[in-house]
Amino acid sequence: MKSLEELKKIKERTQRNVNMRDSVDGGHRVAVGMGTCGIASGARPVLNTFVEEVAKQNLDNVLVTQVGCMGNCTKEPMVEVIDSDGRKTIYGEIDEKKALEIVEKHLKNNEIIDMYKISSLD
Amino acid sequence: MNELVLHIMDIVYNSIAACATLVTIDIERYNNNFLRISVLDNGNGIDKTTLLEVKNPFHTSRTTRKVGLGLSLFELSCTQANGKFDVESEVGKFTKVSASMDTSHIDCLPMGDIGECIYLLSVASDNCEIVFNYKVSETVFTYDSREIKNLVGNDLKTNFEVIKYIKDYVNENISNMEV
Repeated sequence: MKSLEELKKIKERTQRNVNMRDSVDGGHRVAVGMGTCGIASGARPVLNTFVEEVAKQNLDNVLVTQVGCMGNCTKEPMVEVIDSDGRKTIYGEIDEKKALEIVEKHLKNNEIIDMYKISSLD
Repeated sequence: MNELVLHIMDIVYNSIAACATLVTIDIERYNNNFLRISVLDNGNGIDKTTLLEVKNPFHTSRTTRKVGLGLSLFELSCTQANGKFDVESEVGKFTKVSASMDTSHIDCLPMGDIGECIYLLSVASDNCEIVFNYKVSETVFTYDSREIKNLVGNDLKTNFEVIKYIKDYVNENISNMEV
């Protein structure tokens, strides 16, 4: 049976000592829309994919956040990626597979995926 | 919504939006197939006139659009499975959403992944803590995000091993309680 005692040991064994930053120097902020519309259309597995992949691949300059309804409910699940220079890209109709692609291309290589993009702001 | 945990997440995001610092989620199973879910927060609360309107899908506090479906969808999920749905609140003190349903009813939604839901809610806001109680007859499993944060700190967000363990920890403890 899993216990908090063991959780402590796992933490000590795998501790990463990362300082979480609010600003993202050279990194990205990912905002997943978790309003009623987002949740109903499948934002939870998308959010989970971002959280897990960012932790699994030690992407320390990526901050994953949860936000409310983004205002274009038909395109949910929506994901906004804000680059360090302030450029915003909004992706629509994202699923787990597309989320993985965003991690690989946009978050790791700064490459915007035009196919899923619904708008962008510089 | 196709899982009960999605409704729970939706309600907790309301609490976070209402500046709650502590949200208590209770899930209770009783009489074999009855389920009670309640979400209690210490946020801004809802005033009496709004409370009468709150379950109406055409009522919302936001200004961008005229519909607000979260509570009305949850109510539908309860009533279609022989259950009840209620919202109580006092301004400046608390808001409590209570739901019940008969899990043997054919229209009752499946529960979904509780561990994942509780983990995601624990990292949803830095200012809001989650207490989760899962009760089957007399046994209770309690999860407190403050306790977890004291143990693991920032690793809660950045350490994959820790994230995975927390989800499994919740799910394993819960499934051991099933009758």
